[in-house]
Amino acid sequence: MNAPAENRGELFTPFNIITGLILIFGGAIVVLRFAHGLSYATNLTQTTTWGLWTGFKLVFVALAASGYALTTAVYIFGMHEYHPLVRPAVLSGFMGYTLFILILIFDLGRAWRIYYPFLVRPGVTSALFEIALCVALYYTTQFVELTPVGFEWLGWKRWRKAVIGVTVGLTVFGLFLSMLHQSTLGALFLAVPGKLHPLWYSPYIPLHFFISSAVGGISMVILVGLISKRVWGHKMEITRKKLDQLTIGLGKGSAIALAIYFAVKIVDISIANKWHYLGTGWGLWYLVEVLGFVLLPCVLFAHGHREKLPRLIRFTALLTVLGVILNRLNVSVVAYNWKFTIEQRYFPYWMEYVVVVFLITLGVVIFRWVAQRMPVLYDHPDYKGSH
Amino acid sequence: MSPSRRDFIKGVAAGGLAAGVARAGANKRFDGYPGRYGLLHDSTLCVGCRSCEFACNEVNDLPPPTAPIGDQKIFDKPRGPTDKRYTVVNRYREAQGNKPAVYRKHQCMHCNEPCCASVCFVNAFTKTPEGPVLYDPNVCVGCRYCVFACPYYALAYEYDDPATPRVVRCTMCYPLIKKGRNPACADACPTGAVLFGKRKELIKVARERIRKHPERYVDYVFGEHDYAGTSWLTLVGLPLEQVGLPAELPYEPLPNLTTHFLSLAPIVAAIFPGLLAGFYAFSKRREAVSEQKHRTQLDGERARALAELEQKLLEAARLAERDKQRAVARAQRLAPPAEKKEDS
Amino acid sequence: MSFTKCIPKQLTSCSLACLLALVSACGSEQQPAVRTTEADQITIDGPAVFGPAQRPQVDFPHAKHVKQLKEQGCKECHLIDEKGKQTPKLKHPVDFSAPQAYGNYFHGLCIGCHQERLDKNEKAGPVDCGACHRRGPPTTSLRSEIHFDNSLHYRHLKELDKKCEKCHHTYDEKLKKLVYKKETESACSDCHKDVDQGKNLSWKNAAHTDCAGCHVQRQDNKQKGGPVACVGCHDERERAKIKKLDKVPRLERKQPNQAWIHTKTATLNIVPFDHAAHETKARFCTACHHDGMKRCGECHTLQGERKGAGVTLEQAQHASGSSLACVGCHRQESLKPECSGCHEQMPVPPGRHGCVVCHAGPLAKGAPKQPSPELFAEVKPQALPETNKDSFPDKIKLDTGGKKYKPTEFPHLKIVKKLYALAGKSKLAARFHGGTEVFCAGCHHHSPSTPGASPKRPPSCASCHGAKSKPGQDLPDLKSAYHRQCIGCHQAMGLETMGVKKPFGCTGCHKEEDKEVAK
Repeated sequence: MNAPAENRGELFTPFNIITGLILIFGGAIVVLRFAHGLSYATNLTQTTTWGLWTGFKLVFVALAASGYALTTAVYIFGMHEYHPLVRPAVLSGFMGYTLFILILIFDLGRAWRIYYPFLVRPGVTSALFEIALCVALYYTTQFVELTPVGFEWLGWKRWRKAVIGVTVGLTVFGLFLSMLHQSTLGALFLAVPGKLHPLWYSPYIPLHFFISSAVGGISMVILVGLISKRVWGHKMEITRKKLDQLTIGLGKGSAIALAIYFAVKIVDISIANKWHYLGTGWGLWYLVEVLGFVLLPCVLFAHGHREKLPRLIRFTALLTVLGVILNRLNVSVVAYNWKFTIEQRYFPYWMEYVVVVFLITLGVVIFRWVAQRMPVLYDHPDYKGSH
Repeated sequence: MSPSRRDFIKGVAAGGLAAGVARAGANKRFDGYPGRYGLLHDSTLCVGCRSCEFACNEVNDLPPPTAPIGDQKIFDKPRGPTDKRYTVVNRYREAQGNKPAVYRKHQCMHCNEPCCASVCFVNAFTKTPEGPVLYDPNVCVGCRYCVFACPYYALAYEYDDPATPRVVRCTMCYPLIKKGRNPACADACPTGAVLFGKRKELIKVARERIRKHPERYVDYVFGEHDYAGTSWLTLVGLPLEQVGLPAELPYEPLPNLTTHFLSLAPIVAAIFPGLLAGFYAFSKRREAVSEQKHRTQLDGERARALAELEQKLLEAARLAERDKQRAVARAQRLAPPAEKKEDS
Repeated sequence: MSFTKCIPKQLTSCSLACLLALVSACGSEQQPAVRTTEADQITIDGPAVFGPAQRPQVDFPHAKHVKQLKEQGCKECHLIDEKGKQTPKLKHPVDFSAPQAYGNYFHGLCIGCHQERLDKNEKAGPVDCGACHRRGPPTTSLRSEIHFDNSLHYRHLKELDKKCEKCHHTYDEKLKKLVYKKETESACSDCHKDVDQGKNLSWKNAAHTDCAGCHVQRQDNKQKGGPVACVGCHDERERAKIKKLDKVPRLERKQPNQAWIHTKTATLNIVPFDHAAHETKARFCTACHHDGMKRCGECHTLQGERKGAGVTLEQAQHASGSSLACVGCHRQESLKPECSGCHEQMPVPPGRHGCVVCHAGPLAKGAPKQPSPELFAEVKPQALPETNKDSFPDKIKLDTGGKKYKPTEFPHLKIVKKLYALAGKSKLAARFHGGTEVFCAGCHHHSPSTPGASPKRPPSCASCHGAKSKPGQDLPDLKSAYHRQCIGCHQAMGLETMGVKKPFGCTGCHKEEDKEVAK
């Protein structure tokens, strides 16, 4: 990734080769999965039916929250200084949802029926129905939010103007949809109080998921900004200094969000009087997640904001993203069926890991393709400063 | 403007109607369809012959179980329902001297408030008035939320099938029940450990058995109220946890945990756009105010600057004038005495 | 990445170390093993009123201390009373006033002694907290109570030359001292209760003073005696080593041989009771006379009173769940393997036909003082009827019309003969079974069984059990009835069947149907 991305003419750059191999290999496995069924590519059992792929469904959506986080900050709360980061954030969010939809398709038994909940027989009592509806609408919203990028690239001025006009409306709609589906993804686990470890299970899981998605989203923006600057530094309009400033500002937001998240976790344990679980093996693992990946980043973000240390904030953003991934995997895979013995437990098959890597690579490749060609990291000269 | 009498009457009528409708839907208890069937499994009568497994597989066109009747090795590890067996018998305690081994049959419980039906986002499950919960493979998308959520681990999925995978489980032999016959397992069980009948009657039978043989049974009919009750009732001779059943389940149906949260969605839908629009308006207003302040400040600055400039100009003019006067005076002082000669 | 310059080095390394340590400690949820304490170990733990303790309980190893302090003897810790007799009480009474005082008492005692010995360079116990207050899973004590039985009592009797006064005494209120009254001997626990009541020692203290004290004395005098170590009485395994006599002569206390059991207002025929015969069957007097050598009716009145713990007289005789009641004890007998085949499946409240077996005497009014000996004559079991194809068949074909298995041949006569022989060995069984009809009702249940009034042939199973079960009446179908009866009986008697140690499959009793016929 350190190679300059200007090798537009060259097809066989190291980056392209590596990602190409991953995509080919992963693609082959995906094809085989559809040819032979889920048992071919996964270790799913009858007692553990949602595995690594479901865990990563949650991860992708949580980290795709960069879209709503930044558009809300800029357009609703009026923090216009973050404007240069809006498009990368929305694009990475869009990629996140794309990956989510793809991994969902791989995980479903009959993916070709994916439109059934909308058109054939809606099951409105289901949390999954609400998620499906909200994600479908939100995906559309994000797509519409990104169309100006395409229109600018294509030069369709009138179309662009029309969409820009409804930005605030789209943002409001997007935030409202995000609130719903991010929290409802947590609500999926409300149905299994006996199977999810008490430390992770709570009637407030939806709230936990929503806040941690906001946290993850902001941290993703920081990371995307960092990586974009490193790879396309010269192309990126915003200066290094300005980016650092914005990073520090985002760090402040993250610190506040993480502090709220930590407080919510404490209150949750107090309300249900779960303190005694902390002394067990599971409790230690929970403490690792909460102290190491929630409290620690909060402190580091606050410190970094105060002392104006953009590098520290970037490191902490990585820590936070890892923490969100850890949390989602804990809830869906690790702490689920916690009472099982080792023989009964589910451990992912190697092909499941390959598919996840395949999808992440795909996301990166598409992001790169769009960012290199379209006015995402910079303003199109025709529309400079007009939005 | 005061409302007219007609308006008032209209309002009262509307309110009364609304209240009536609200009262009709408020807080009524539903005990389940009357006359629905159930099965009573008396696990103290179960001798572990697994005839029910054979019968169930036969009725559902599955291959027969690999272990023959009487095979004891099959009980060494606990088993659950899979896509190749919808019911299993597990051994929970080995025979000790004169005390026989403890077995229990496990399968879908056909809950009164099925969690699987509640979480399915294509409504593939139906709770029939007769009791069984049915599954429709024609709409199933294969998300497996039902398998994930079932508290009894009773559902299984056909992972091996790439084209038509289904969720599979005990169906309480619904077609047979409709014809007035018994489910296959009830007919196959040699000791009558599986009894089919009206659920209400079976509960009475269970209670009577407990009363008659208090040392044989734990005083609890599992499935009577657990998670709002199930169609399969179980009598046990050992504490529930020791026979693989969850103990101390709440009375409230399991789906309620999710629906309580989901009921918030319409409220969020109603409130949030307005709230966010308010935020937006607030931030816009704040911007406008600060812009206004900025402009006023600029104007003020400009005016002050102009005034200052004018002042400076006047001052400069005055000074220039003064300098000129001074220069003139100086010039006059230094003027030659030529004008004096003319006088003498 | 150079951003690490921004984080203090200590924080990084510290947090990484903590992380690793925490992660490695995770998932180590092992089930704790159950800890047992030996019979001699006394658990020292504050009373519940003190609330949760700061440290775990102490399991005091008494036997170890006895061994170490052999020379010093019991008096090292235990009080010698004014009369010079060794008591099991501690030299200084335990301070229960406050948690701190309670702790200080024991610490002073234990650590004090240990420290003293350490100062003298002698082997001593621990002085640090954790060595006594051991952490670990909760403990269950292996200590169990010892109970007298006929054999043990007789051995004491013989050893002490039938001098009952050596152990038995009563407290005379007027003379205010212990006296011995012949023929009033009863169990120790009749007066000695759970706690010391003034000079009336608790059962525990009394037993250790007199029983253990006597054993220790005899050991000192080099005489043969009972156990002195705690485990000798309180450990099940050690107790099993105590010699048990088979034939024990009857305990002479001028008790009645036979008597009536009745109450003044009885209207049913009164009960002739063979006390002498029951003495041989019971473990000890206390098996029935559980609170003093009294008659049941002295405490258990008709209406139920406080002195009888609210148990009415009827319940005292007829409660089927309690071995203290007549019916209950008889039920225990019927649950022995040789009888439980039929009896285990019978519902707990007994059938009414058994009433007249006990209530065999005349009416209360005008009954003689003593029951006549004929009432206690041994009942000889009736002879089995002739083998008859209709009424008492040799073999019966059991056919439920099932398609999977062939009909089975049930060896009716063989089984009846075997069970009859087993029942014949028990006098109790013979008396209750009386005629064959009652015996037959063991399997042919819910059929008339009053002797003399029944038809010659009990109804067949298929008479009531149809092809389909009747869930509402809890009436199983014929197939279920057969299997429940057969398998249930085999299981209860420990015979080969499904679900027991060496089970056989269905084909153990009936062959599989040929495939063509099954179709």
